[in-house]
Amino acid sequence: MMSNYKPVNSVTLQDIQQARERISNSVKKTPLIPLNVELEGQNKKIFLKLENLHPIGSFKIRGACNAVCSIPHKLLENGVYTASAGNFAQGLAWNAKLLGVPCQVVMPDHAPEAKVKPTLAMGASVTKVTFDRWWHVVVNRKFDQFQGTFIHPVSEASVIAGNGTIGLEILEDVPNVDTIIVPYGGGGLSSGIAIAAKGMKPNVKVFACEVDTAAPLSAAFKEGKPVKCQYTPSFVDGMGSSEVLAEMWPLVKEKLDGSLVISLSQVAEAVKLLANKNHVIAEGAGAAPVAAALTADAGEGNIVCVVSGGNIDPNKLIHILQGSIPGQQYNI
Amino acid sequence: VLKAKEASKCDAGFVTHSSGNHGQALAWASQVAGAPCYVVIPSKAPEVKKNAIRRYGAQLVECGHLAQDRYTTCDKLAREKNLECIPSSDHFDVIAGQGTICLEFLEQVPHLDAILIPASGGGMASGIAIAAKAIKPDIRIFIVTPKGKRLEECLRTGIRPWEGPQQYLDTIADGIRLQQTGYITTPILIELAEKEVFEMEEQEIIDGMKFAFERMKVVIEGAAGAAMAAALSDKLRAMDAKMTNIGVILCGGNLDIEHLPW
Repeated sequence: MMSNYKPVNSVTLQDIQQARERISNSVKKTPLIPLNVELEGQNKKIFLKLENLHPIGSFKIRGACNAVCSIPHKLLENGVYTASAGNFAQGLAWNAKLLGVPCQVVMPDHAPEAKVKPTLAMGASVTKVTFDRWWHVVVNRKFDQFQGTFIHPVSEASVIAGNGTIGLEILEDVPNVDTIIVPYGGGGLSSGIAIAAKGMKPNVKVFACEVDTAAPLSAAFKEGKPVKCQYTPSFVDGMGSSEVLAEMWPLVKEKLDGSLVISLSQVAEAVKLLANKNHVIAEGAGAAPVAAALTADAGEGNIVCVVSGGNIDPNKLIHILQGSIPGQQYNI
Repeated sequence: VLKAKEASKCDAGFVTHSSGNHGQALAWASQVAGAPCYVVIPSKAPEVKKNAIRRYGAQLVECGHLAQDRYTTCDKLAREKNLECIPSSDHFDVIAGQGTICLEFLEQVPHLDAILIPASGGGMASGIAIAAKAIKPDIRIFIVTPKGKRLEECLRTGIRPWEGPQQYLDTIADGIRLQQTGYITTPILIELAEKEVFEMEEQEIIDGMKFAFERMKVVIEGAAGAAMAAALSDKLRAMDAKMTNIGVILCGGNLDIEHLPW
């Protein structure tokens, strides 16, 4: 449906405010609470925006909801589809089921059962194709076998606007926020939040955060353009890739104040900290902003961390709680 | 603590006995109010709860392993040091404080049909029951406990069935180990709670905790796991089909995460 493609750069604060209204019946505001850790002698306060507590365990429910609810009724009959093996597949399936609309997901053939099963459980149908074919669908925003409306998991204006509602909620709960730290996967979350937050409070800083095993954004900021970088799969499977998406670069370059890079062990420690001190389960990507907030590079003042999701494999969680870093795992 | 301060009743400080969470709460509240605090705690209580109490500035006093030891040690300390005793459930201000949970819950979900509440001494259950019935008289209050408490017998007959001193139940849910509900709390529960009590098996409690970790992404301790399991139980499903909106009190998350029971 290339003719309906709305450029991501066109998303405005008003789109996000409308998104908030649109999703309000289906998606509940999440808690924002202080991190329960003594920060001796440091001039900062760290807060947690708990997106892991949504029904599907991640923030992706917001963008999917706004996207589905923005489609004209007469087109909804043909259903919706996406290409994703991650949390977005679940977000779309959940929202499509709520509206009684057919949903199809294209996944690469080695997508783990842990991701396939919940998507099927929510009533979507899953079609597996080779990785190359899957990447083709992602780039071209089309899968010939399906009639419905394609919704891109990242570079979709309505999805970014849905993500941005998090920014509105943060400003509501912490009006004097100084810095927001957001995990960087495709850039849809951080850019949406930045548009909303900076729209409301222009001098708030929005940092992305990445793990040093896959940090394409910090590489792009350094070079001034997207560059291919070293990518090592890890237990942090909700984010990390080898290159910033071309269509996202102009937006993230403009809206983000930089990328904070942390190590796998810092992320694992943050997962354990959140379970121990705040009694919540975060996946690697969700805990990464907390790890970044605890470093000196995050600066001072009121820092809000977007705990993006809690979908971590239970065995990996046990390893982390017992003090070790889970082994390498191929991820999508 | 704040009410006692207003009434100038606590110059020397506060004392309590607790399995852990009330001790932590009293220590925290005393610190906020700037008053000394002593907590009598069984020596077998989890380290994570003991450490938390120390970190809030309270003095820990360990007592023997019998349930009755908590009471005797606490009374002795209160007399020796002229401390104001704030027990974990048999105190009107504590009951009222716990009841605020229900005010918030009904504000957020006004159409609750039933609430599942874990109970040990019964303070939280009493507070919630009083608030709930006042706001929504047709709401049903169900108590959740480990096996062996005999609370259903108590609620049905209207008479305390327990003889002798306080005992501990054998359960991993360390927050709800007391067998007997209190002297202030029991009449409240007899009047306001449903006669059917959810008595949960140990494995059900563990499954309830695991469910919350995996599906809800929250870390809950055994007492809350019991309530979670009750919510998912066949027993609840078989009850009145018109009860569709069920409130579950996830009362605490203080457990040793390095040694999960599964």
